[in-house]
Amino acid sequence: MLLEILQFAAGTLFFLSGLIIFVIEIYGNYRFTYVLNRMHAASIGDSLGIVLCLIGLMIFSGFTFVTLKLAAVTVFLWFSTPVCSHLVAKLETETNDELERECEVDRECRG
Amino acid sequence: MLVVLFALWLIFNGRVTPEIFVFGLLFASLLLGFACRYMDYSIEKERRVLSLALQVVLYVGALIAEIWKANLATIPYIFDKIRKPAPRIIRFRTALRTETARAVLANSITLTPGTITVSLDKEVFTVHCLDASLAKDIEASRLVRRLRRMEEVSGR
Repeated sequence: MLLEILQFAAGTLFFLSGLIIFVIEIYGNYRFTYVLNRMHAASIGDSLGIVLCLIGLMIFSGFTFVTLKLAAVTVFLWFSTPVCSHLVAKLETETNDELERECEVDRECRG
Repeated sequence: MLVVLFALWLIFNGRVTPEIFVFGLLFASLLLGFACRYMDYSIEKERRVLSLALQVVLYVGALIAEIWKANLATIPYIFDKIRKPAPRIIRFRTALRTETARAVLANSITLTPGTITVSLDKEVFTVHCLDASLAKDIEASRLVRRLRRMEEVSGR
């Protein structure tokens, strides 16, 4: 009984913190006006929000195959989301002629 | 790879019966054979990856820590009354030698909020960051050191 309550509490805690991160992400998405800045806000939810929610769900489902599936989902998400955001970022920087109005652009190379 | 494919098969099936077990083994070996024959994969490469297993685990740990830190650092910029962001595109040269390590680093940079890899041209990374402070020391971060160590272990 106590274990069940603990499981519920831990799951809810993770799930709720994930949801809070998502709310912050959505707020950031509307607050920023430029696409590259918006992507930073979006990546907060992509990297941390979704994983916290999935960890919450994993705790809810206990030691089952569903948990393993959710873990696999996490791994696939972390592999695929950077690729998508990289493509959007590349497209934006290569097609926007007035990039320097939005952000500082370093011409010289560090390191 | 055989083990990973077989484990995925079992996870997606959701239960273990003799039938699923046998078909899983069959399909996993077929896929491995396909990868070796047509996708430039080999048992030799597998052995190399396996010898780096400990390093990979350490890298994933460091990556999760970095993502956590970067999230906490990026969230204040969203509420600009707390911190005003100054977006910037920076370029830096990396010390990493192999293509794989560079691609992994590019993915990791994009995955951590606050920084997005815009392009990767040989050893030059172009990174957009929400604020210059988020990309401070990016060319010598913990992730770069871990990847460099992996390259050294595998003798490159």
